[in-house]
Amino acid sequence: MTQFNSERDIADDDRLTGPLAAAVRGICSAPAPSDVETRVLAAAAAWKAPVVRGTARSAGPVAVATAVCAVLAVGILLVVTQLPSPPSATDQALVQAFPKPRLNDFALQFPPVTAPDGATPELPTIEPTPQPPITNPDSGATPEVLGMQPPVVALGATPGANDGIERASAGFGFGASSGRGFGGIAQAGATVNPAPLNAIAADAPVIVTLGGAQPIRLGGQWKDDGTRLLHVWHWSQSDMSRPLGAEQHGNPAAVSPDGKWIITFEGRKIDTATGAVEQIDPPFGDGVQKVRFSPDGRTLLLWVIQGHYQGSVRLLDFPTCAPRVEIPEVFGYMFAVAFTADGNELVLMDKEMFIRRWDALTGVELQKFEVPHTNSIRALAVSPDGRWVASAGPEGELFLRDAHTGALRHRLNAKPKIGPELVYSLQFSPDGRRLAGGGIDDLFLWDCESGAQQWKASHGLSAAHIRFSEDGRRMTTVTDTYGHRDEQGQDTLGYPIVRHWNAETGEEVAAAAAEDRIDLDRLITGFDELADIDPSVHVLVGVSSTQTLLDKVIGAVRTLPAGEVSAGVFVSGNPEVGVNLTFDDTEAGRQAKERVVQALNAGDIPIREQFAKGTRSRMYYGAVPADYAITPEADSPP
Amino acid sequence: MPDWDGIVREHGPMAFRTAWRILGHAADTEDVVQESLLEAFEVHTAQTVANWGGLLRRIATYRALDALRRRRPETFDAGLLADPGAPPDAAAIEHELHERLRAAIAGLPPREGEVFSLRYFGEMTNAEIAETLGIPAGAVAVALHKARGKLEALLMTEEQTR
Repeated sequence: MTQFNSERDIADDDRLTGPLAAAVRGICSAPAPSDVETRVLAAAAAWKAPVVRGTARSAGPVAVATAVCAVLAVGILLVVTQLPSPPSATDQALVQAFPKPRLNDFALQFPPVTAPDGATPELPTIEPTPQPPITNPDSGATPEVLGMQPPVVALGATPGANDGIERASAGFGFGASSGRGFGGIAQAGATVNPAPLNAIAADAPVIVTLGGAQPIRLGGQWKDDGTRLLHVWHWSQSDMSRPLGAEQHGNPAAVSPDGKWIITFEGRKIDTATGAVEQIDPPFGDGVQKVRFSPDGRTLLLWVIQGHYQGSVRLLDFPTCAPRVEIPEVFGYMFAVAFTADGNELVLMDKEMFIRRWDALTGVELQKFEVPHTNSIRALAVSPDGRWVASAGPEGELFLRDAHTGALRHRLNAKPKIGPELVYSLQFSPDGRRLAGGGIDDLFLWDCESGAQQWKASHGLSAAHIRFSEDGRRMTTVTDTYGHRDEQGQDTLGYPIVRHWNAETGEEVAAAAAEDRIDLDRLITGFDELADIDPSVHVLVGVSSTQTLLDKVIGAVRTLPAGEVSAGVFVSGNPEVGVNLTFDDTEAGRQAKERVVQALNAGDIPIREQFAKGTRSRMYYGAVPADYAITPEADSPP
Repeated sequence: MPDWDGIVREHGPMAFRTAWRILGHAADTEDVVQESLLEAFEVHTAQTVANWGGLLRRIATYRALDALRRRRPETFDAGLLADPGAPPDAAAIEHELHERLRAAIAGLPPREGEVFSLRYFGEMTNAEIAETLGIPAGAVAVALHKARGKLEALLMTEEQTR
């Protein structure tokens, strides 16, 4: 093999520094499992052409099937791509002779469908047996707060690693209202994987994590004293946590949508108000990987993995936790589920990567959606009106189906694809007519009826969370990794990025600047909802139980002319209200700032400047009027 | 056409090591390397390949990164989570750092993850990577630069918060 040890390559090595260098060094010096290596290589070296691939491998019938599929797929690939005959053995020819092996090519069960002109062809409609439609009830479990729909995205504190003082780093979670539950919390930004440690109520301002004996401030630091108590934040009342009892109860997996109950991976049901612990019977046992609530809170869903990634789903009645039904043969590597808005039905990826629709109450299978994905489904969504089911696999493979008939209406693998591979997030517009999808690089919007792509926008880091404004005209996206924009305007890892879009044009209407990130942390932490953007003044509006207060601030900011200021409003738990304002560093911006201050003061909210950072961003706090009282929510814990 | 068993003997170990470093998990590595070799075997029966070392590492890297991205989040530091109350020791901290890097690599754009993995886990030079991927050396350098920047920023950020 040719060796290329240029000076530049050596210099490249030297540029690894700090923890990255240590990690790479450590990984490379860890001894490989030699017994496994010997076994695999010896088996492979014995392959002879023509080989019976299945017998050459030792992993059983699945492996045989996979191998056969791989052989078939290679055949398909050869035909489709019309490979040139083997070239001479030059370095360049290697590249041309061997098309980049996309992994999914070898798992294809169907050849790719492409029309001669490259357009996405009309797919044959598969007409399954008619099934009862997914109802779209006027669910009482979807409270309107400030005209908003229930929360979908929230941030919470997450304990760090188990040494010394830790920053309680924030992690994302989906609310149950989205049908996606709480488990999908970002890896980045947390020093211990926060997924099992953090749970967020969908419809109540309640966040749960693990912590020590002392209360923890959201986003602040906490001292690890060796204990692991459940901590509950009722953040509309305080940003300090309340440790639940003095005993360790395990890792929180989910919080009920109303914020009243914590479910732990160990199978305990804990009252967030009293700390009373109830052992769920029968016990969860091993293998529970995800816990989800239905939006109505009546169903508890457990995704269970047994043996070699044998997945199943258990549905429990809630709050009794009595076993209701078990759905076998669920995909065991990746979990995709979405409940209907009323919680009566769910769609689920089975082990063959088909979507099946289930009655959540009886466990009766209602429908199997034909044409499976060729790889695991990464995102699944049911439209608010129950009409559409969207599913996304890797490589930008998106299916849009009629939920009533199961017919595959559109294959939305847009060109270019959503990012190079994954689609992370799907969200229907409130009217159910449009579908937004976020991938690693791009953000897309389609018209559901026609399947036409309405626009595509470059998003940089992946848009893992998408939220529409109530009127469907605006969108808010949040990255799942902790990205921020550096001084050069480049996106990089570090802090979350929130972006706002004109949903009709795909134009970005406002973006959180890098210098706002601390404000942004507080802003997001203080809300259980990333909420809406008023289209006229770019106000990021949050949902809180302190609705009156918010109304005042929002009303005041709404008097401002459009385009001069972008502002975020939040309520912290102290209680005081904060307005996060970004002004242009121009005369117009300064004038706008004055008007904002005047307007807020006119709204009976005295303003003080809390801190100044950079040249464009200011944080203002307004003390809450003495006569203002936060009305406790009826069902909330004290 | 070189003998298949010779190819496996000569280049298999490095492909195995590359996948192992990316995954850090013996069973996953076994699966990935098996798949990769099967894929390479198909190529072997059909085509002439100039650089088997590069090709094997490249396939193993693709496969391993795909497996890494498919991992459930819980898999990433199962060792630590097994006993969250245990006092930290050096090995646990080191393990955690490795898993954080793996999780971060899984989150990189595919091209950057591939290039970074081939460079540092596959021990290939920029020129070899360029040749194997069929892209200009400059593109390798750019992808590497971006990947390093993101990974450094991420790990540094986490370090500072510890």
